[in-house]
Amino acid sequence: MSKIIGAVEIGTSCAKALVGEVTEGKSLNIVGKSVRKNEGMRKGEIVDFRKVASSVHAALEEAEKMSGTTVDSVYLAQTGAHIKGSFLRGSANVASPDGRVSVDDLQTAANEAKRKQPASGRSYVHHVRMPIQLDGRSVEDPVGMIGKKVELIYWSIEGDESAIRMNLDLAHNYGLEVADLILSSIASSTMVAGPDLRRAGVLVIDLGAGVTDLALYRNGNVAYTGVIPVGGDHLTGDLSMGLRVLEPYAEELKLEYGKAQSDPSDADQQLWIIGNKTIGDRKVPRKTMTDIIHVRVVELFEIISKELGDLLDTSELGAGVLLTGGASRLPGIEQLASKVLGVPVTKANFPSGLGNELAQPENSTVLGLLHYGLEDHGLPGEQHKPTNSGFIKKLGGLIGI
Amino acid sequence: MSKAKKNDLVMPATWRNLKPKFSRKSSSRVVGRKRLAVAARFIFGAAILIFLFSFLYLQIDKDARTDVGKKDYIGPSLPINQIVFRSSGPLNHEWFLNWLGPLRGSSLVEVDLEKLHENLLKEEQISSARISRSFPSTLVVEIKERVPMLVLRLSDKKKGYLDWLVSSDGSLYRGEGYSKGMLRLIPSLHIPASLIEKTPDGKGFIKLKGIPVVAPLLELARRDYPELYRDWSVVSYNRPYDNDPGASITIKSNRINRIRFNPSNYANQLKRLRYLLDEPNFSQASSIHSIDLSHGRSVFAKI
Repeated sequence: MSKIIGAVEIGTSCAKALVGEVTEGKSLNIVGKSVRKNEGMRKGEIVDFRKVASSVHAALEEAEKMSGTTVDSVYLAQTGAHIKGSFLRGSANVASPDGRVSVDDLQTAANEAKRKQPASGRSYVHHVRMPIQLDGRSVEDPVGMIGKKVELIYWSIEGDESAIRMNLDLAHNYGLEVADLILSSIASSTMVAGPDLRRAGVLVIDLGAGVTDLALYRNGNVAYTGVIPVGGDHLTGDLSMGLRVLEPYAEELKLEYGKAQSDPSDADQQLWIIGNKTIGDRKVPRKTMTDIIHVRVVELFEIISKELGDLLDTSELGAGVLLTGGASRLPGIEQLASKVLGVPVTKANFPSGLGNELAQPENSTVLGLLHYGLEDHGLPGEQHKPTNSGFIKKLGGLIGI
Repeated sequence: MSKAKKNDLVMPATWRNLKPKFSRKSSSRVVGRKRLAVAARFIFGAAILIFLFSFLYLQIDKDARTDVGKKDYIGPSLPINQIVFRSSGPLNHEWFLNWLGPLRGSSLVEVDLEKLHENLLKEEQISSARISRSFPSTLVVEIKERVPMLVLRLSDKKKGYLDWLVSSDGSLYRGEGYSKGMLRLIPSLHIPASLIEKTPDGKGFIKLKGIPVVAPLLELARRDYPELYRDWSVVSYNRPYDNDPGASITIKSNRINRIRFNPSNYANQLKRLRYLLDEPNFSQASSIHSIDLSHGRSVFAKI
């Protein structure tokens, strides 16, 4: 029997919805996809709820139509400059007299770790579990093993309560349950960095339109996540101001002629702003345009470098840095990033089997949501509660009760 | 402090606690359209269900009202070679064959039981019918006939007069198969012409409204006082309703010119009549002028 799941990414430039069919063998088929332009967000945060709702709901409707089915629950991406992460630790003594670790011991340690309340007005988005420590040793599954003390460490991501609530409202208003709220950077790194890369150590930089999401992995585990409120839209804004052109034209110029570093051939090139040589159309030097982009990109990677500090250790980043997200399409960006960060940088590749249309850098987050959602992130031996998605509840959700 | 409250205190603030409980207002046109579509589908589904249930109910009700007996859904059968006819009255097998007409080798399953049943009930003499198939080739017809209580003689332009039988529910029918001797024992009905109304097609008469009130008197007399009843020849009534103070039923017998009953408590009135007729003066009289039993405990009699 197959199960239909959905994924929604509410990005600064567009809202994306995917509908996937999971068959019994856990294989995932993408059966519906839709992208809608989103004009209600700035830097990853909602500034016009109704505009965002229109985009998200239209994307969901189109994806459902394409799939020929309806979605009951979705995996929702969460990002924004308000997102912060920190480590939480919890431990528990093994309760059993024979010293064998039980699921209850793990649960106690997990509750202990998650007990810390975030600051007022903030809420946890995501708890990413590190390997379990049994008497100081890292183990995959300690249930049944003999020991005295289990310790759980979580990389816990928290965010602004109202921003999260608005995100959830968008799904709920459409009559959908949110199966899980997943940090965008973790979703996209799940997609582009496989387990081997994560074990080798990798930094995934998702260059979005409004924000840049970071996820750093060491020994296969999340070591850091962050959100920098700079993205592709800033390049467009800079071009608009620097070249004194309207933003839509600046965006077109960026997509068509933009590159991260200038080369000698740029010096002689002039670019028409509108391109149809009508009144108001004029020429700008390509070098000027490239320089504007270059400055902003350098600044972005400098911020990333500063943000990561000592974490940006070449010896710990065996797989280097992977760039993904729409802005990573910019030619020459990986060379520039490598120069600024001082580590090898490559553009991320997608696993084989995805169609060309889907395997694009701007889709890494929404695809990652489905893949992350399919994986089991619970405690070893933990029973999963069945989700309540009965007909009455669904109907109630749709008609707003 | 309750356990739930304790849990709330230690529960960390996760996004799952932020899930909105109510969101009646659609935040986009798509949602509004979707909700409208869901509501429309719901109403359409409910309407279909109501229609189906109503249809089912009406069908069951119709089947119950026109019970044609056991329904058979067995495959092809042989032509009908036997008809079993059972009746509670004088109608017999021969009558049924004449009524049914030629079968012309019809197969048993080809017979439309429902139509046959419907046509049988059109005969005024028949009050109910059951028709069933007995495979492989027998048609079983069971009917219940109306019992005539009175005879109403009405003038007829062609035949001079026609006798109509009146059953206990007030139905008037010509009656078939009754012997003349049997009909002679049934009292005649004599009522004002204004109480007799023709059916819209002009072929029969509408049920007489007063008969259901008179019938219990006749049934009681026939059952408990047959020596009195045997002598009754003409029954008439005028406004025979028990809530009408002037209501009365008048019976003429061979010996008593007029017996007047009130349309209530017939048992007492018949008891008093019996008692009165046993009185020497009355038992010895060859003819009695009138006995009025309609005034409660007082009986007015005139020899």
